[in-house]
Amino acid sequence: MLLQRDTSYWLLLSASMLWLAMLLGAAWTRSLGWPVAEFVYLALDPVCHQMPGRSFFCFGEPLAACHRCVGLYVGFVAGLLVLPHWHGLRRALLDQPRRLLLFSIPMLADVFLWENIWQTRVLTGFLAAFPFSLFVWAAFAQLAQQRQTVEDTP
Amino acid sequence: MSSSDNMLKPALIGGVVAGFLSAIPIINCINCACCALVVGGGFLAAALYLNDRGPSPQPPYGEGAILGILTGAVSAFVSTLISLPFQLFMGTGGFGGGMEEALDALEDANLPPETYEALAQMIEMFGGGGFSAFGLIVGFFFSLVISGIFAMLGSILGVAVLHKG
Repeated sequence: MLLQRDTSYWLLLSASMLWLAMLLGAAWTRSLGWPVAEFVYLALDPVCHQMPGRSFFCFGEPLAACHRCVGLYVGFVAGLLVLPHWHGLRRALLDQPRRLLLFSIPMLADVFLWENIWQTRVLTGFLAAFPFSLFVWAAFAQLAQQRQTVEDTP
Repeated sequence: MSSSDNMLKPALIGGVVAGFLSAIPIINCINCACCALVVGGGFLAAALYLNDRGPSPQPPYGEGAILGILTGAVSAFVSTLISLPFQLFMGTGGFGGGMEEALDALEDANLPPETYEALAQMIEMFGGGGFSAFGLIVGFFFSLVISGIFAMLGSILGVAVLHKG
């Protein structure tokens, strides 16, 4: 599969970075006492437990996502930034997509097998999301190609 | 039959399962693990879709994304519908509990009185004191966006893992 850094890639990268910025922005606006911050915390409430004891603090406020979720989100963005240049891993994953599961094993072990610490939560989340971003990029690229084909058809 | 027609049944099944489980108190706590129920609904929809679609040389990641968004929309609708009786009986409709925190933050913010009044009024509309239809509608749209994103990710994951060439 040919993956290029076209509009769909930049769109996905922007949206992912905006998601991260939203977490920081919510903590910042909450620290200023702006009620608008609560909407972000509420919107993300069904997605993450948001326990302050398991979350990073920014501007004196807990982020709207826990350590593991932050690891996942940062891993996703890092994957989008690094994988376009890491041809070997890209090819290996696209040829055998089930290899993606190997990257999730540490996270599952961290959840179920031992008492985890914040470093393991962040790292295993990062590792699980890092290769997955490639497949979301592939999905966006396919949709853009399909749209292009439809537009080009007379 | 076009691929979008093929998507309807898996999206409905995946969405109803995810939405139903997401609406039940206690079980919906599973969603705290990165929206696992909704991601699971997307994954289930992808499994059903690939089963109907048969083998293909290229994994249909793009179709998986669309399927996931559809599944998320169904899930948001079903969970809002099913959680309605719980919210009516328990009085925690829309953003009830969380809005109290917003009102507290507003009081601490040291705002001019007219700004405070306007914002407090807006928060009350979202359901500051219990069940509110407006809060429910806004909650539904938030749920639509969040479920759409996470079911899409689940569906793409499903396509990646379950696709047979």
